[in-house]
Amino acid sequence: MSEVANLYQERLDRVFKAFNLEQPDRVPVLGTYGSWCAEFAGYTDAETNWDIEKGGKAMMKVASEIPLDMVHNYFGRPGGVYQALGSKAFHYLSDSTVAQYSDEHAQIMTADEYPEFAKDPFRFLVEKILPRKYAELAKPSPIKDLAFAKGAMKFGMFGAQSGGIVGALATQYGMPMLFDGVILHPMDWIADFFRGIKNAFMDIRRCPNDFLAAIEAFTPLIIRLGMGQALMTPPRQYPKVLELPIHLPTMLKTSDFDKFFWPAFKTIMEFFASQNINVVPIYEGDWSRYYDHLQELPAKKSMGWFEYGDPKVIKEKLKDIMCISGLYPATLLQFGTKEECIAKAKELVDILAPGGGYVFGTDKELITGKAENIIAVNKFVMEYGVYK
Amino acid sequence: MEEQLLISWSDIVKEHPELADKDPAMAMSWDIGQEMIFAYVTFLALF
Repeated sequence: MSEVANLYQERLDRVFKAFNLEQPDRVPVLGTYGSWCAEFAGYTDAETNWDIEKGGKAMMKVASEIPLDMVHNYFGRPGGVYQALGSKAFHYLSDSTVAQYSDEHAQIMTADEYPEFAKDPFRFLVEKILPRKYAELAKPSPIKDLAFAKGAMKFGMFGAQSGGIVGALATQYGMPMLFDGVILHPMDWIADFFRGIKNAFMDIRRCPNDFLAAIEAFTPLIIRLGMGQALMTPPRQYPKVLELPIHLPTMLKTSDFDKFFWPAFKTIMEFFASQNINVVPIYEGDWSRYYDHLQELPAKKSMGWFEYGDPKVIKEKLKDIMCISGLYPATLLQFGTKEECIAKAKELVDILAPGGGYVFGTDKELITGKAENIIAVNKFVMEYGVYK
Repeated sequence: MEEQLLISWSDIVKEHPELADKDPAMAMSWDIGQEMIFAYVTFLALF
């Protein structure tokens, strides 16, 4: 094998050993870089969303200049798709900011529509959600049909181009990409994008049965979406990996978590485990209330990307269930000194590395940060995190 | 009667009973065009 191919294989082996709760040669370093990639390459987030070539160049710069074992995903979004369809939700506050979420724009479904949604969620997406989210899809045929086709073309191009970036990272830099696709929990999806978060919390009180029925009806579609993405990517030696960002649970009462979140989450996790597909839930917030729940997940089939929490407790409670990642504060990389950054990395490696099953990563995707800090921390982890 | 928008695995099995014992994941690769449209529509509902 060529030097680059060897490097690619070494990095894959290192990360997937940790995934399998084994001890690799050293702690793997995962690049969890979002729109920071654009910043690092001198672009705005918007530029890379509309010009994927710039997004690709940004990824290449990261792969060639930042010491890493793997990048988590391609950070760009398909701005052209949203533009072609007249998205009302995809917007920027200014040229220099990242794409913004608006809870107001997410409120596109009423509470009395839950039964219709639950009856046939896919039909509801096509007939109700999309025309409300996209101005062009609310117009009469054939205008809306042409817009839908134009968006699909751009969506396909985005898939092909981002797939090309994955290939270029592998063949030119020996840099693997972790995620083969992304899914969401149905509760988060409905709350964040159809009802709005404020409304969803009212629904929990006012129409809990309808809300729950919608979550249950949406779950098979989430599984289908994940399977479709896993099957569309080329076969490989190691299991496919899906990203699952999680939003609402730490804002819920535990009884509501048990009722609205946990059953569908467990179903999703067990299904993908049965298909030998690994899932990386991004446990946003402090999940310490739920560690006992997480002990019920299939062993060696997921990597928990934690935002907050006591690393000692996480290690103690979950080391036999899942690979552990995250917890390194992204804000420190932006505001800390090099010494402070390295001290924090040492603290986490000392607690989480022993015995394996740990991948070094930040608590959240990086939007901004000092490159010199990122490089210093990653180098440190690669040298200090060698298993003896 | 409403026209069906998505073909379910059970409908595929009705047409192809020889697949009844196979993994439902086969439905995903049975008609990849349908799966791509499915992925496109669901992703549009995402942001």
